[in-house]
Amino acid sequence: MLREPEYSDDDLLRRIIAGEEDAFVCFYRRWQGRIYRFALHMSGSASVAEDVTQEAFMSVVRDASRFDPALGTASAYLFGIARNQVLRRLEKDRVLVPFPEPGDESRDSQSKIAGNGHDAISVPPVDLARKQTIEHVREAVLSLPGHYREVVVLCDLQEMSYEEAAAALECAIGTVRSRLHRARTLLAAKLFELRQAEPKTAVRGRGSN
Amino acid sequence: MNCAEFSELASDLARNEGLDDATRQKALAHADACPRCDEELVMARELTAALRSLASSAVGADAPARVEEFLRREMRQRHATIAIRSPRATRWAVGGIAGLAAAALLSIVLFRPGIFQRQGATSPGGSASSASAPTQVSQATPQVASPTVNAETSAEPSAATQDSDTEYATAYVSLPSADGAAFTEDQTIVRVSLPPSALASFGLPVSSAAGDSNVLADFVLGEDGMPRAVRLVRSQ
Repeated sequence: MLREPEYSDDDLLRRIIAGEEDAFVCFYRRWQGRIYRFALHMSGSASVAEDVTQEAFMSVVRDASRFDPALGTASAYLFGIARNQVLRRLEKDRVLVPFPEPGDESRDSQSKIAGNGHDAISVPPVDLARKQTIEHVREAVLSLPGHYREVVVLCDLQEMSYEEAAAALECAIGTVRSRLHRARTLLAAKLFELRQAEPKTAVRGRGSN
Repeated sequence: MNCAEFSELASDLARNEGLDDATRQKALAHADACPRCDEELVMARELTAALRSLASSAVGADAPARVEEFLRREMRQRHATIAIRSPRATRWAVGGIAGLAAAALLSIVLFRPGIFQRQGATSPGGSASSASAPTQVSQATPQVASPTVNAETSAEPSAATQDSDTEYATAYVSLPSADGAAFTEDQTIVRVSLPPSALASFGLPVSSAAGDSNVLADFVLGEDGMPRAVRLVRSQ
């Protein structure tokens, strides 16, 4: 098996084109997590994220020679494919499936955190306030229009730089910045709305008993 | 810096990206002096922290192992397919399929000599080439028959035996790799010479009546270099 730091993405892609399975496995393990989480945050669905990840890397299996290092990084290449897949899928499905709760055994990939060797371990417990915050943010992110959601996912959740996000989205850095600014304004408004709604729900619940 | 300019930079400030030191200092100085903008900065930082909580909740979430297994399988299959389509492998494939086809036809020929049709002309390629280096003989539109039809519609070669330049051949038999494809005028025909021992090396039953003489066969090749049909040839 090829070791992670020994080969650049470009080296690995060249070897993949030559049919080296080890190179593909190394490349896949290097990037699959980030691609999977991107698709997960974009869609809110573990099954969509799985499909998108598979399809993105199938493009590499089918024709890695389409990647041109002169035009961008392997990261941008992969995220570009994944992004197109996600948008196509969202357009097709038009239904957002909520993230599963920790402990929900029916959604293996979200209720478990996989290690490097894909051995699952349990998610550590989180306190209620933090959990509630996470759920609110998740809902708020999923409520954003696609072109705002993707910049939030790339820049704030995947911690890409503006430059990296611009390469993945094939747009100008200024576009990423302005979209992110607008997206965060919408997010703040949505979060405020969700927080306002929370106590009212609780009051209604108590009143009905 | 006024409030509108600050508002444009609040996200960058909260994310700590995209601002040079001088601009950052100006923005922070404005927030210190403006309660409204200071509150906006606090909210932007809270939002950043909340987004990081969401991101951290998914840290380590990977695609299920079955995705890797599937992709590795696809990788192996795809490159195995490419390998068999490489020129060298194609040559072996031609030899292999030629062996299969020739062996099958040889059995027919040995017991049904009447299946050869007189061609009435010398082969355009002259003498036959070896099996490992097939020679391109001609381009034509071969008339392909199924093995059953072939055996039933063959002509007797009696008159041809008096002409040393005359060539007899069976009708073309479609190979499995043809997959129902139509034959066109621009397809290539190659002639190979196959010794019966080569046929036996494929593990096929070859009658001892075949002797040691090579068997000539014409293969119709598709655009991918794979044989589509085969016929046996006999020169007199």
